Amino acid sequence: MQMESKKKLWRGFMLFMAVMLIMTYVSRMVYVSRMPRVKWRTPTSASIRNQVTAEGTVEAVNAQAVIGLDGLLVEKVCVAAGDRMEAGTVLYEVNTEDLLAQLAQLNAQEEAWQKQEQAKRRDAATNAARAQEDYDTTVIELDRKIAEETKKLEELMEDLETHMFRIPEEDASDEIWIAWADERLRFDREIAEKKRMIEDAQLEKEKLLRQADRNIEDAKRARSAAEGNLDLGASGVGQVRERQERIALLTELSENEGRVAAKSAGDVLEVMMQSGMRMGSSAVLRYADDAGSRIFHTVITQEQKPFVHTGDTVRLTFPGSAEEVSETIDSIVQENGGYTVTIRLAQGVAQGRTEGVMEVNSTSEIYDFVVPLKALYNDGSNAIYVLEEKEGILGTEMSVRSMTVRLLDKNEDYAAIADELLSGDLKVVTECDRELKNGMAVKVWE
Amino acid sequence: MGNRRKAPAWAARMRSRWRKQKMAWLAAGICAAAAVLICMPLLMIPGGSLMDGAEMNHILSPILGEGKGFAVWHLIPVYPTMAHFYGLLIESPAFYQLFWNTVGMTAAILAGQLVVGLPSAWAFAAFRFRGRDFLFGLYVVLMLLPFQVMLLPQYIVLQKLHLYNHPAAVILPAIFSTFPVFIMYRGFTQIDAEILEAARLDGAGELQIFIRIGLPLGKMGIQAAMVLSFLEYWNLVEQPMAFLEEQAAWPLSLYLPQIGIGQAGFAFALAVVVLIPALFVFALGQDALEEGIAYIGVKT
Amino acid sequence: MFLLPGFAGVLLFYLLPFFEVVRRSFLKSGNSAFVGMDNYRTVFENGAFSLAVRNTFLYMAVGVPLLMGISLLLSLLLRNLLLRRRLVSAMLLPMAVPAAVMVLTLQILIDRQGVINGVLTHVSEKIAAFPAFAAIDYLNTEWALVVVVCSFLWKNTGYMVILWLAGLAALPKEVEEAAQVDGANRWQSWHYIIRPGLSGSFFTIGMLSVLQIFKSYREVWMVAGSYPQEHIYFLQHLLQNWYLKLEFDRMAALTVILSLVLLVVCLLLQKRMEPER
Repeated sequence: MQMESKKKLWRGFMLFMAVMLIMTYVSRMVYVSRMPRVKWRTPTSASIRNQVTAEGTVEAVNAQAVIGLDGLLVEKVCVAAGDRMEAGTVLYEVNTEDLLAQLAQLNAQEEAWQKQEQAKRRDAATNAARAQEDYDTTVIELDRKIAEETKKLEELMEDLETHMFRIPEEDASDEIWIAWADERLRFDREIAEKKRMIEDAQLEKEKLLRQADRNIEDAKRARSAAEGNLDLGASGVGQVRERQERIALLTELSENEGRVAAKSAGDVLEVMMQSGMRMGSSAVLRYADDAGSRIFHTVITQEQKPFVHTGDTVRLTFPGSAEEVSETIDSIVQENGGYTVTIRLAQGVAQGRTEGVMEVNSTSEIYDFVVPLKALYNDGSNAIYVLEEKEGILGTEMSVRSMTVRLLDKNEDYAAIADELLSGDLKVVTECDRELKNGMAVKVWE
Repeated sequence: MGNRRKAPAWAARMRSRWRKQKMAWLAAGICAAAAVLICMPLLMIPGGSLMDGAEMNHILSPILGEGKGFAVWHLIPVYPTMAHFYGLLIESPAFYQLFWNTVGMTAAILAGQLVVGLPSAWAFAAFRFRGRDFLFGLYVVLMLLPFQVMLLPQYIVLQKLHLYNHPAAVILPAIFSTFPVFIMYRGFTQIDAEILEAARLDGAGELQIFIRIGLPLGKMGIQAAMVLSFLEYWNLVEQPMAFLEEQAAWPLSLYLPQIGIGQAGFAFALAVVVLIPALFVFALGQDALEEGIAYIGVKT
Repeated sequence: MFLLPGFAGVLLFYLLPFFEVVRRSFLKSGNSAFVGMDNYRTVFENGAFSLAVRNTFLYMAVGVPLLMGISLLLSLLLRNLLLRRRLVSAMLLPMAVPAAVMVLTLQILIDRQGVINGVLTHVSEKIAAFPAFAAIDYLNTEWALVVVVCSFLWKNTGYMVILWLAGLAALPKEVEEAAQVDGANRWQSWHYIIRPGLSGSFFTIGMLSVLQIFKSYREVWMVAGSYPQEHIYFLQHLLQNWYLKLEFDRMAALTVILSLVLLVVCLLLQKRMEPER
């Protein structure tokens, strides 16, 4: 081989080495630029707070009803379902002519009845006086009779006494004795009879007296009843009362020009009447009374369920108002694939609201290893990447190692993990700017 | 001989020349065939380095356990790609680390061998002293011993010197290898003794003789030794494997076995790059090899 | 003086360790108790030892002559060719190939479903004259040794060819030419002129061939691992496995045995081949 080719060879060799040198740096640069950069954190011991927010509806438990005024004709309906009503809000108006006509009719009835009552009263008074007279008469009569008989009895008693003085001597004849005994018997008998008659008369007197008493009472009662408008029978009394009430009602209504107003505040739920309808005795309006109680309903998902429990205290807010209350959850029922949460609201809460937002904050127990949620990734099971030093051909580098963990709990920012190999000084990768693979070399983000 | 006189002399010469030429062609043919046979496996390398991974897997699938039948080889890939070279030369800084490791190691060893072995060879060749034959025989034996024999004791020595896991653990023993001494000695022995004598009589010091006479005249032997050493250490495997734990210090020859047949394309690309310096050295030192090695065999 | 630094290093890294080895060959590894010739006896009685010795010897006995013979033949053919340089360079290339790459290509070729089997099967199917060919699992049968020898030849032929060429080139041309003119045929010139002249080369090339046989362990190990098929289980396998199992005492004993053998052989050959020095 000649010198020139040898020289060429040497030059070629040197060129090759120079190229290798350059490529060394190039490849290094490429490698480094391609290296993912990561940020890391050590796991901390903390608890996970979860917040579940759900929108729901507010409903009234007992809808109250406004009963229609039977028989009246609705002229105009002034509220509709969904309206808000306050005490005094005009709900509807009745036809005033019809109203007045009815009122007049009722008044006439009332008057007739009143007259009737007065007549009744008079009669009753008369009866009462008469009864009293009868009573008095009867009493006098009976007293005289008793006195008479008593006198007769006394006479007999005297006679008997006398007779007793005529007691025969002991040696009188038997016929005398028998005649005297008979006489005595006769006296006894007559006396007994007389006594009996007196007793009877007395009894009768008492009876009569009682009877008369009753009569008097009855008469008195009738009188007072007549005076007090209490006629025969409860229903009769009721009817009168009704009529009188209705009269009062209609009168008041006519004074309000036929406008019927709400008695309490609430939300109109349903209007069951229309203009031109004659009301019956059923409800014409349903409303949710403010003073009544309400229930809040919302539906939560499967994922939210673990954080919401019966008895939890939640915060309820209502859009459109600044109202905010704390209530406890009454029940959670699984239905239709979700869970329906029911909260009974206290009196007066959420007046006028139909929608609300529920916020549940649950704080879990303290977990040993909590990392930012972005540190977790999933390729079939939960895993994290751990930053480690690795000895390789290029010397000591940082590399990442994939580690499967169990997920205990999480919220949007953090996750609690567990594994036997976890420790507090592990460096867990939280962010990376390129996709990571197990064993890859990485650089720490400065 | 008598028969030949019948024919014209020139005819005989022609015939023998023609026969010679036929023989020459036959010889050439055989040698060429031998050369081709030898080179054929080598041709797999550049082709493989350009072969697309998919194609490689396809043709090697029987070997990889995925197919029936036999593997084939395309000397020229159907879908050539530079992907392997790209992956090697641009995306693997590890490769460069190892490359420079190998370069450094080989250069250090060669330099050391020159510093240490060269004078030793000269000493054996130029001087006569007691026990020289025995010592040289010892050197030869040491040269022939397989490394496994020295594996344990060297390990102990290196441990004691705290050199274990350091590149010097490979470089130092290699520097004192007796093989280059052997080769260079042979190169020196063909220098005529008279020249040396004359120089000594002229009052030249030993060092001067060495530098002025020995080196130039023994150049071929030295170069041959260097080339052979280069080839040996550029592809050294056992010592680094035994004594270097730290991967960052490994030479390229340890990187290759890690690449299995599944990544054959990458391995071939790597082979191509590893071969290039060897080829350069080869080319540069070929005449030295030819002539220098000559002296190994000649002087008996 | 020139020798000193080199020798110091040799002493340190080769001789001292060697003496250490000799020392250990008499001790038991682990507790370092003196056991005399026990280790040697263990080695000789070890079955693996006999196998390894047999294989290594066989390998050498086959490989070295084959290598020397083929390369000699080639060099004889080559020496007058014009293209000599190019062809020789081509033949030298395998020496530059890193072991791992060689192993890779080897795997592709000799796998049971590899290229060689593929080609042979294909050929035997297509050409009726060929006998039916069943794919051979080269590495796991006796063919393994054939594979090893072939790859040894492949790698080292070029190297030896150069050496032979050098040796041949040194022969004085005149003698040869004179002989040819005298009518000596090729066989005669070979036998009487060339062969004697090459005796020195013979020694060197022989030594280097043996050296290369030992070095080829590297490729064998890479292809077939620490416990290859029994026909290619060599002494180095044994030594390496003992190293890994920390059985240093046996290793030491074997090493000493090997070294002694080598030393003796070398000295003998040297005396025979180098009468002058």
